[in-house]
Amino acid sequence: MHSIVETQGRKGATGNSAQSIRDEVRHLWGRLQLQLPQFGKDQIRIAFCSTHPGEGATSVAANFGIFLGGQNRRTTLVECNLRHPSLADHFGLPRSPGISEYLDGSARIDQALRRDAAGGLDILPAGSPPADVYAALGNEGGIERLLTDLGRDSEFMILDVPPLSQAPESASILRAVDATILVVQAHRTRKQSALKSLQTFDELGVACCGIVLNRMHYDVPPFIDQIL
Amino acid sequence: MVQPNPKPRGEPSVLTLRQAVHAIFRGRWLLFATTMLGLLGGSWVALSKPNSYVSVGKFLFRPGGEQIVIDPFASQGDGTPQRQPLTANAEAILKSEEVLRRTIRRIGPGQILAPYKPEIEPDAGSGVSALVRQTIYALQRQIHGDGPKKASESDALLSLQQRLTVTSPKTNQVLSVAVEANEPRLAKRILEAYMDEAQARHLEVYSAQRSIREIEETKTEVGENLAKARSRLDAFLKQIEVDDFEADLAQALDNSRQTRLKLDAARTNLQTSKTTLAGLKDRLEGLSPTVTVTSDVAIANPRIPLLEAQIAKVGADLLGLRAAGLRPEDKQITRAEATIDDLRRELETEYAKKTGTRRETREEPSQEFLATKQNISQIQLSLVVEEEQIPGLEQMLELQKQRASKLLAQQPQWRTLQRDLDRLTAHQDQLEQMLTLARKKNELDEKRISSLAILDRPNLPLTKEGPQRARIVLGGVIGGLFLGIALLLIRALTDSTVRTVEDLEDLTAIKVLATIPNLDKTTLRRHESMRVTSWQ
Repeated sequence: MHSIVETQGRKGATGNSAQSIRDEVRHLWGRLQLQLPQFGKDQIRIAFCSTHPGEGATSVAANFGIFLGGQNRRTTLVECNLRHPSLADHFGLPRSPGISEYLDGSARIDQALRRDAAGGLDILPAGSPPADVYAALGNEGGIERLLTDLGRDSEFMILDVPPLSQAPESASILRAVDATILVVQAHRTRKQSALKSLQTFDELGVACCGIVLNRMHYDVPPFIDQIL
Repeated sequence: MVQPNPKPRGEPSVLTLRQAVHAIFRGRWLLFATTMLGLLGGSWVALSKPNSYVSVGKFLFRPGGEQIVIDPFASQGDGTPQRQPLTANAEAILKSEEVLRRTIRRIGPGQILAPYKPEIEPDAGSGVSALVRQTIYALQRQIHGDGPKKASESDALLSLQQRLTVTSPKTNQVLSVAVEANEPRLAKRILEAYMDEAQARHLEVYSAQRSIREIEETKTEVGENLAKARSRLDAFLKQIEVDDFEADLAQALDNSRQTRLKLDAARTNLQTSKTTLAGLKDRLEGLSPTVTVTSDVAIANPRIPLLEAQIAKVGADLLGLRAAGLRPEDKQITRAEATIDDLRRELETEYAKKTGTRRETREEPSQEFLATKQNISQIQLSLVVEEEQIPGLEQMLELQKQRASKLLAQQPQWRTLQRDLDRLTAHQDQLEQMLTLARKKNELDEKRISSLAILDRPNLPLTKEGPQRARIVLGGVIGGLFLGIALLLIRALTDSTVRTVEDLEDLTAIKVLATIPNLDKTTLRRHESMRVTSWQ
């Protein structure tokens, strides 16, 4: 996955790519500060969610977490996508123990949480995929217990939420966060899908702070686009 | 609640110029592909399309007594029938199916639908241009060289209708006709046949020329039959070795009759000669070669020797007549005998005169005996001649009878052939009279009817009329381009994916917090530029 900027020798986007990602994440942070009503309280939970798998919610969440970690803000990146875990591999961390192991009681939260895994960023990987993801994370307040146990050390808790179209446990996760950002992949996500996701947020009572348009590319050279 | 877009940007189904340009740039490879496809298709059509040559000819239409014609089916709106120029009639004839069909029958459907087989000119050289042309011609022969398996008249008619153009300017009375073909000579040939047939058809419709043509056709047919009948008769006469059947037959019959008469005469003469010969022989047997003559010799009576000399002369003549075959009852014979009797009586009288006579007895050759003997010799001679003459006459008569019989046997067949010949000759004479009358009528009619004269004979097109290969290729490219653009616009119209920030802003009032570019060089460069320009 090269859409996550390189950190501590981990393979990732470098050079202009990394710079561009950083700039955009900085813009995101700047605009998000204006959107967050709870900005200034002890801990802010921000979820990055997409409509379909592969639209880039994980990479945007990771880049945002890396950015905040680079700003010397205590940030924890929680990989809630138990169905398709990928963060541990990217950052070169052991896949388990993770959330799955914590939820099934085979590991403690301090065992699952990788402290300072990437430039001041704590990472809680998904762990081994459980047999029943929804039962593990969606029911009986699993996510609430997880977030509570993670404690209040982190100033920001960034949650990588599984796609809405695929994972019903997303609803439980989104109810537990302060702000949600919808990640839309340019040239792939349909307008109806994006609109339906926003309606789902509304139905769940989740505040959507904004949208990140990911993997944008430009068909027309800028000078022509300017003429148009 | 999802916040609605405060500023809806029009109907989603309407494509803005910006969206269209974006869609075209996005689908540039499809556009390239369809353009190339158009280029290939256009090139194929341009290369495979046969050359076409157009031969042009002109008719001069001269109206007759009427300058206009009334079309009962067209109205000017106020109830009065519409009046059209008479040239419309000529144009209708030129476009009529009958004329086209006649042209096809004259040229042949196979020629009209002749396959296209271009050949490289012998003086084309051996350069690259000649090689390219040769390749193109080979391709065209491969595509068009087979032609239709069976060239039917209806197919040829359809083809000719498509290739024929008739134009009638309103400002003058000149009708232009043009025929297009793959080969210049063929175009000229077709148009020549077409113009001739059109002119003939026009005359048929408007003049007595039709009856003239029919009579001429019938006359031609009768003439052909007459020639055949004459040929049959000549062959028949040649077969039986006769020049003039009637004369030959009469001659043969006459010869036969003459020969029969001669033969009968010869046989009668022969019989007569035989009878005479027998009589003479009998008579000769009864005659003594010498006779004892006791006579009183006159001492001096000069009349007696004179009479005796006359008797001897007449007796010699009589023998000669008899030898000539005269019969005893012939006048010459009887006259000679009477003369002899008279002379003898006179001689007896002279003898009776006893004027100084003396009686004298002596032996003298019998004159009768000698004459009879001479007669027998002569009759025997003529008998030999007559006996030799009869077999020749009999043979000749037999041959002449055979000849006459043969001619009589062939006479019915000859009569049949001669009757046919006479009948056809009479028919031809009748048609000739009819033709003369029809021509006279036509001459009178031509002063009153319109005419369609050939002003310009079909020309031989020296340069090809088409195809405009560059235009076809250009058309293919433009067509492919437009097809690609159309496909892209359709795709853009039906596309519902989020492509720009504006799409999201159209969709919802929720802010777009960030736009993360795709991490390829072009996108990163454009992203930077767009970020700069978005602030301008």
